[in-house]
Amino acid sequence: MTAETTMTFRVNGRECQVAAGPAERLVDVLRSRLGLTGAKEGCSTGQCGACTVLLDGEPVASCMMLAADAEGREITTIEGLAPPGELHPLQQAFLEHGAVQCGFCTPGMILSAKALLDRKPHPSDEDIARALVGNLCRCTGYRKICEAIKSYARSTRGRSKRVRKR
Amino acid sequence: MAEPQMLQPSTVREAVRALAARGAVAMAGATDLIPAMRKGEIRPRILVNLKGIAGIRGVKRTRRGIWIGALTRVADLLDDPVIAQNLPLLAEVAAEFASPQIRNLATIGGNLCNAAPSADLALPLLVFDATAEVRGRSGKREIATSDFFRGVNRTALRRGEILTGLLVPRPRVRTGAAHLKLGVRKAMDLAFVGIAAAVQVSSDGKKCRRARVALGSVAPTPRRAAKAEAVLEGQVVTSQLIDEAAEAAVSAARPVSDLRASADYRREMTRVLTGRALREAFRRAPQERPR
Repeated sequence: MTAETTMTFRVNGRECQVAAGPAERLVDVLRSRLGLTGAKEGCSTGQCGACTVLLDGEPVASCMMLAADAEGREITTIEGLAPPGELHPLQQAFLEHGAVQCGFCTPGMILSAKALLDRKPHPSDEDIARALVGNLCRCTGYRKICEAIKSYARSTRGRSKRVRKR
Repeated sequence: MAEPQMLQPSTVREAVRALAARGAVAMAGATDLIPAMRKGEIRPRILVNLKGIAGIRGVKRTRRGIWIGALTRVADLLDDPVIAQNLPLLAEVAAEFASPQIRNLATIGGNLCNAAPSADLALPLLVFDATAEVRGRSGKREIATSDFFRGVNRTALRRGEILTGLLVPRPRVRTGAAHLKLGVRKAMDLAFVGIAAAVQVSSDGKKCRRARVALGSVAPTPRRAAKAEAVLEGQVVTSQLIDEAAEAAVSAARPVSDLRASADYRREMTRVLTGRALREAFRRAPQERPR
């Protein structure tokens, strides 16, 4: 066993120093060392998207990436979307539209959707489908997930117009 | 898995030196490497993480064509203005590559060096006559992409050599290109069959001056279908000629039967999809010099 190395990155807005093996995957460091179990390990081969987290705002499969490669970067997990005990409006939209059944894919789904909405606040159906191709859901049939995302996007229409004016 | 030692070279020279050691394995996006290590298919003693190397990332126009750094992520090919203008086919293929989560990690160099029979990005590079730029202890050399793939997960790279970039000649005037991929799921699926075609037509648009056809997932490596190209070049393009070329492409296929598709099905789909890709490429070929 090689000695552990110290890596530093920001997780959900907080600076984190973690001692981990050089070949340890990001999903393992998040779940086992930082206790952030929102990212799920499903297939371990990048197929299912349950382990999706945002790296500098972009979705990545945390089972396909070494934690050491996150050095100096910003990671957002589902735990970081809203303060403890509260829900982000996008999470609320998932609840209201029945877009959550067993819940295993949900953190990844929401983070993939969040990355899309940050880039494109009012996506087309095609944009949504394309953004979610890497996230599998065996329960909902996807329709309710797409409806939740569209409803959230509609609810921000007024707000993003004001932002644009500034 | 036993923990390998990790080295983080910051120059090509350092990387080449590190890779000369026994048991050293080069790592870029790591999306093929991590599952292979977990399955025990690759047991590196030393992981040489190439991602910190400056100067082999990004896309540039050069005198000899478009240069693409080996560390360029697949996601970056999607919205690069130089790629969009000069090699839109590469952006099309990148857009269907795996999933956003993988495109944000995987690199073009990694996709080629992993040398899967289904390597998506190999096909557009093969039809545009791209060259692989390689650096090793004894200096630089160039390898035509058509000579780069040597077998399943095997390339022409020697121990201690790394791929630093791809040089793609700017496509000639009146060239059209197309790509088709057949799989079950839109994302992530390795294709049963992948086809890319690029054709250059004569100024009156009637003859085929130059043709390139590349096949993926139907042989141990991505490869050109030389017989199909020979059927087309110098000939007046007719529907029958395209059918003959599609038939000829099948002779380059050496497919296996596996869980995803049978060899017979892959051969038949090679014929069908080559015909479709060629028709689309001819349709896209501008008759007059653009601009």
